[in-house]
Amino acid sequence: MSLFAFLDRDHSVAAEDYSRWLVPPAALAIHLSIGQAYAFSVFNLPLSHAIGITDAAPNDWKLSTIGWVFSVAIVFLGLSAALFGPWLERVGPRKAMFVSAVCFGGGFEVAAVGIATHQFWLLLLGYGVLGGIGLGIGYISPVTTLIRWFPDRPGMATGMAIMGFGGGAMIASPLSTMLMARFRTPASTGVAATFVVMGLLYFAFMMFGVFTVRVPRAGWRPRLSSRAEQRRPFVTTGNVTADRAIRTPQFWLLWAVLCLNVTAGIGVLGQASPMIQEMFPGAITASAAAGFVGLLSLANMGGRFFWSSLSDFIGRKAVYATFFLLGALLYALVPRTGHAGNVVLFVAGYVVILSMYGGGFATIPAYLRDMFGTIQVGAIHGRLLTAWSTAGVLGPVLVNYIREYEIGHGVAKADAYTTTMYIMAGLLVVGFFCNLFVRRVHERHVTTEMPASATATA
Amino acid sequence: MIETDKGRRSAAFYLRLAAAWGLVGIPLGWGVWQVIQRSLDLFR
Repeated sequence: MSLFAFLDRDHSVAAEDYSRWLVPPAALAIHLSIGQAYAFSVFNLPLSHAIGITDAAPNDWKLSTIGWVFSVAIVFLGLSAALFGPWLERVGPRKAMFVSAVCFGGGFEVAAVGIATHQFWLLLLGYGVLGGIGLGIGYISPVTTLIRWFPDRPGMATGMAIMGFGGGAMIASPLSTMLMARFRTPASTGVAATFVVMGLLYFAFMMFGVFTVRVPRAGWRPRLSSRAEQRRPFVTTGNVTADRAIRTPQFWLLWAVLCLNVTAGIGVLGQASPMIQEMFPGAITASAAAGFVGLLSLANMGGRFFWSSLSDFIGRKAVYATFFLLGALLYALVPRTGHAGNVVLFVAGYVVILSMYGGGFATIPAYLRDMFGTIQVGAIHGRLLTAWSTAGVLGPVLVNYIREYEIGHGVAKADAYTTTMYIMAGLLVVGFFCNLFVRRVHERHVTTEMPASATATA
Repeated sequence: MIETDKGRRSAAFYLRLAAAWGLVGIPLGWGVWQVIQRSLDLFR
C-alpha cells in the first residue's frame, strides 16, 4: 500500500476497537500547530533587523512590509477554507490534514530560505501563501469528522479542536523566543534557523494527527443515554450541500452572527495593551498590560471550550443570544469601571467578553450542523470563515480610527475608547437580532442525494 | 466516558488514549503555564 493510498478515506475507517476519544487529540495536534499564526508578531522585530542584526540597516525590511506576511497568510486561510471545503469532504480528513501539514511545515522551510537569502517574495510565498493554505485546510479538516464521531456533543468536540487554535500561540510565542535565543549569533538573528526547526517540529506534530484520525465506519452510532438522545434541540434531520447552503438566509444570518461577534472581540484584542494603560494612567505598567493581554488570551482559549460545551446543553441559539446580550451590556458598562478606577471589574469584564469572542468561533460549527446537517458541514464552515476575514479588517479599523478621530477632536485618551465600546455594544445588538431570526432550513434545500463522503461512512 | 462497544478494553487501548492526550496536553499545558506566569504581573 503506497503512502497516498494510506491517506485515502477508505483506509482511514476506524476499526472496531478504535475510541472516538482519539479524534480530539488528533484534531488538537493540527489546531495547536496552525494556531502558531497568532504568534507571528514575535518575528517582526528580528526580521526587521535581519541584515543589521542589532539595529535596522538601510536594506532591512520595514515593519510595515513584514506586516504583509501575516495579512497574506490570513487571506489565504480564508480563501483556502472556502475553496477546498468540498474537496476535503470528498477525500476525508486524513489526506486533508496531510496536505495541511505539508503546506504549513513546508511553508516554514520556504520562508526560511527567503530569510536566509533575504528575498521577501520567498518569505511571502512560504509563510503567507503556502502557510496560509495550510492554515485554511487545517482549520476545517477535523470539523466534519468530529461532528460525526460526537453527534451527541458536537459543540464540545469541535470546541476542543478550535480551542487548540487559541492555544497554539501560547506555545509558539515562548518556543520561538527560546529558539531565536538559541540560534542567535553575532552574524545572525537566528530567525531562519528557527523557521527550519519550527517547520520540522510542526510537520511532525501534525503527522501525529494524520496517523491518529479515523472516520467512523458505516452505520456507527455512539451509545447514548435516553437523556442525551432527548438533548437535541433545534437540530435538522436533513442535509444541505455547501452549494445549496449559501443560498439560504440561515447561512447569511449565521455569517452576520459570526462577523459581528468577532468584530467586537478582535478590535479589543488588538488594542488591549495600550487600552488598559490609557484607561488607568500611572496605575498599569507595560509589564502589567502584557499580563492583561495574556489573561485575555487565556479567556479566549477557555471560552472556546466552555461556551461550545454549554451549547450542547442549552442549544446554540441560546448561547449566541447570551454572547450578544451579555456582551452588549458589558461593552456599555466596562468604560464606567475604567472611569471609576476599578481595575478588577475592568479586567473581569474583558475576560468575560473575550471568552465569548472565543466561544463564538468554537460554537459555530455545531450551529451549522444543527442547520445544515453533517454531510458537508466542513465545507460550509469553510465558506462561513469569510466572515472572520471581514471582521479581521472591520474590528481593528473601527477601534483604531474612532479612537484617532476622538483624540483628534480633543477627547482625553482615557475617554477615547468609550464611543468605540458603545459602537461595539450596538453591533452586538444587531447580532442579537440576526441570531433571533435564525429558523430551521426550509425542506426544499434539503438534499436527497448523498455525496460519496457521506455514504462511505456513517 | 469511553466508547465501550465491545465491553472491556485492553491496557494498550487506555495507554494509547493516555499517550495521545499527553502528546497534545503537555505542550498546551506548558504554553498555558507561560501565559499564567506573565499574567501574574497584572496583580503584582
